[in-house]
Amino acid sequence: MTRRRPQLAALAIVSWLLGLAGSAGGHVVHARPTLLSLVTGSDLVAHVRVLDPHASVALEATGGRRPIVRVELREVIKGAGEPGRELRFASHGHGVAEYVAGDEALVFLLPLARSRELAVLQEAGLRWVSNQEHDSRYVLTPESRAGVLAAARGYAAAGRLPERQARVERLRGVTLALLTSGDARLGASAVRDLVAAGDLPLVTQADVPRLLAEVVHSENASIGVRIGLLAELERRQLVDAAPVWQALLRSTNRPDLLQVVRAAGRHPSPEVNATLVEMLGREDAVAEASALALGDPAHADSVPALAKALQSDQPRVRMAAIRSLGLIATPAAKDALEAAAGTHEDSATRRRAAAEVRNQTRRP
Amino acid sequence: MTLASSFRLSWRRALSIGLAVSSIALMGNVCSGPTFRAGVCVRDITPVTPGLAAAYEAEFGESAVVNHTDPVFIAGFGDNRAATGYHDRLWARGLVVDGYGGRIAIVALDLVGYLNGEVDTIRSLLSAESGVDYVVVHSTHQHEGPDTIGIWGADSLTSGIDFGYLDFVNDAVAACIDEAAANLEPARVKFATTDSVGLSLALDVEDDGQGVSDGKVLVDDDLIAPETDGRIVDSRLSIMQVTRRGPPHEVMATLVNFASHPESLGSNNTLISADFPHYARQHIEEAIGGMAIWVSGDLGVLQGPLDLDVLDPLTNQPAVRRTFRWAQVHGEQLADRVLSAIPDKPGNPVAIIRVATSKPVPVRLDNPYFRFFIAIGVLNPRLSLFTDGLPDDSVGTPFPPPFDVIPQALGEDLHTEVGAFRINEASFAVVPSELDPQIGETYRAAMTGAEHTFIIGLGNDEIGYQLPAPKWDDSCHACAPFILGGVPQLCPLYPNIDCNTVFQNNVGADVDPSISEAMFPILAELH
Repeated sequence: MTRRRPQLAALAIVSWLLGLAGSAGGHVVHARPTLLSLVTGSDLVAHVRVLDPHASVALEATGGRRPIVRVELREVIKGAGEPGRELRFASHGHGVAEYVAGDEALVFLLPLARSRELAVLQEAGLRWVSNQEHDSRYVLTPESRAGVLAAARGYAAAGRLPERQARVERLRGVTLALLTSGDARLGASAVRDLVAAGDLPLVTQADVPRLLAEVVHSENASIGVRIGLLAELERRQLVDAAPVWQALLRSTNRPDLLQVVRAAGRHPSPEVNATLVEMLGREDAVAEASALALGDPAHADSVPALAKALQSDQPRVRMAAIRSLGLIATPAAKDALEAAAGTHEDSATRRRAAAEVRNQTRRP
Repeated sequence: MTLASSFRLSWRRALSIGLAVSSIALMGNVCSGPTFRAGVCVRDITPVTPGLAAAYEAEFGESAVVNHTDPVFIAGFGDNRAATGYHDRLWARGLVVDGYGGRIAIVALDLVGYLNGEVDTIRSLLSAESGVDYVVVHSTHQHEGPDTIGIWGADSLTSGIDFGYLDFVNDAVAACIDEAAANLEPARVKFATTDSVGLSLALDVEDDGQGVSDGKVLVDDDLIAPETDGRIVDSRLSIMQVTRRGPPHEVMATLVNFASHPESLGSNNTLISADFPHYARQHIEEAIGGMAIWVSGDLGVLQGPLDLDVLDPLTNQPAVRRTFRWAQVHGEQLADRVLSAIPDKPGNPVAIIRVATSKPVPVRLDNPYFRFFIAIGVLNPRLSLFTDGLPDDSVGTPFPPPFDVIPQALGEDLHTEVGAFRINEASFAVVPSELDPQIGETYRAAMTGAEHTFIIGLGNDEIGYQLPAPKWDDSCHACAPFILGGVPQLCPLYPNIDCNTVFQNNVGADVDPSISEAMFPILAELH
């Protein structure tokens, strides 16, 4: 069955903006949260300096101690607090964020009373808990400080604006700033929020030339942001994406090219397909990536090229081609696998192809 | 469809014959049917990249075969944790056991998880001569090794998986099983059960001195376990030891089953390691020889070591958390418990083995976030969704207005498998999930008559958390259109929305009913 891309209507999702006005007291903590979701989902957002990341509080009940973090407030971006004052919080989660003394950080805190696991720590005088984990830790560096703080301030300020259109414009400004910041993490966060926002006009047709020039085609942007943004612009039908994918395939250098190849395979078009097939002939890891990228029924026309790739002198390319032929799973793909299983000169290739044929017989 | 039906002998009759033959075998007769035979194998599956090959050689004194591209993204905690070197090697450790009724291969991988499609490929790669009736590929779920699932790459937009490495692992595991099966030898098997109670110091609010802690308290857990404020863990250490048949009964393998995430090193570590099971295995092997195999059990929901304190015998102080020293102290303490529990008598030279499996097991995909990310191509499950048993990759916008602009993958379910087997007085359940210990207890209760019970978690797949259906908090999924749409406060359940990773990164409320409905009949068939 062919996957069809939904035609998203530009309508009601705009109510998304209401969330920013009404999020105080909300406790929606996403796994791998974006910066926006961290700001909207926290009661206290603060720029802090870490005083003691390995402090602890005494626990009367056990006679033991619980690790906590002591920080000095530098700026309160959301919630209440006084710069210069000390703040203590517990950490809880699966791989909690870790700091060293002197770190400048952006912390996102929730009332401890809401933590089923740690509420008892209130008895030790604590009020706050951070659910930040490894990938939601924001330690500020000279390079990232300005961008991260500006974005957090922008998101918090947008949430305080009473008028919807003003909030859209404010968020659009923050989104564009993050996407064009050159900061891989901020850019990825913005792309994920764009994706989750449906058709909310956080980018518009007017922004596309700048985004293509400063992000998608820019070597200063991280490759994840470049391809993630292009995929999102394609989903929003703001660009004719096939020529852009093809241009990226032709212009990107390694190692980023490997990610482009992987991503392009999920955006099939005659141009992309032809370029990936062409890349199968290269004598480096790009050939392997291309073989993997073609592993989708949407690339069924590439079976002859993948069958040819089974003769590559690179073992990883042969194995990738076998995987993809197994995923395409058309009769022609199965014929190619059976031929390799029977007659390929390399025993490992014969064995793996035969295994893939057996896999085919087990699948519905 | 179950495999058990293909074994024509009833368990009761097999047992009686086995006991009879056991007596004969003990008198020195060798009978190829019920005689227990075993073979072991090991393969180094440490990911080695061009950039890390020198580090591998420097650390282990051996040249390395490059099997992975640069970089190795470490799985388990978050994005963009690239490995910078090695602390200890990752292994595939295999045991093939053969007795009256069947031949089973158990291979434990020092990996975060291994998906069912790859397990199928391993099975397809096995030689016909191996004659294995049932293959169990288990992942310890350690959090200091390569991304084999694909969701811990450079950022949340790119994958961390290297398929060439998966091909390497598949070959290694299949070759390992073939080797062990080809080298079966007369052996003995014995079992023991102990626990980890008292191995942690109970200094923290989340540590009850059980040697493992509960990182996520579910609703009403406090009613079940009021004495621990709802913290419920499985501290059982189940042990199977295989020795050579004749005196001095040299140890061939010691398999340890324990329900705790191997993640004590935390999220800042960038050295590849098997975590505390490395030290536990090493300690066991140094003490009694043979190969130690670590098998993680019902370690969900978030059963683990992160909030424990353990006493370092060198300093007589609590070891510093998130360090290799902590992992060493914990691992060696667990190993000492294991060593002291193994009975000092020869094991049984005969074995009655029975196997029952169920595949495919459809599990309804309820998670609207997964459906959303699959629909937009960010999450590529590599395994199709299915509707009425057939692959279904369709996409639509099923939410009612005003959320009918949010795309969703429409396939109804994903497919996985479950299994169970018996070896003499021991019984094993093989689950594809991170199983909550409360459910694990119900499986053990269904193992009627078994003296020793094992739960092999993350067996032949990794589909995430499996928690009791009554404790499923649907707020995160039910409010998904509001959350994806950015208006959580408009959801009727607001503000009581729990999007803890246990609920958000979960296939859905149907996991436990589906897995348990498949598991209980095959357990009943075996007991």
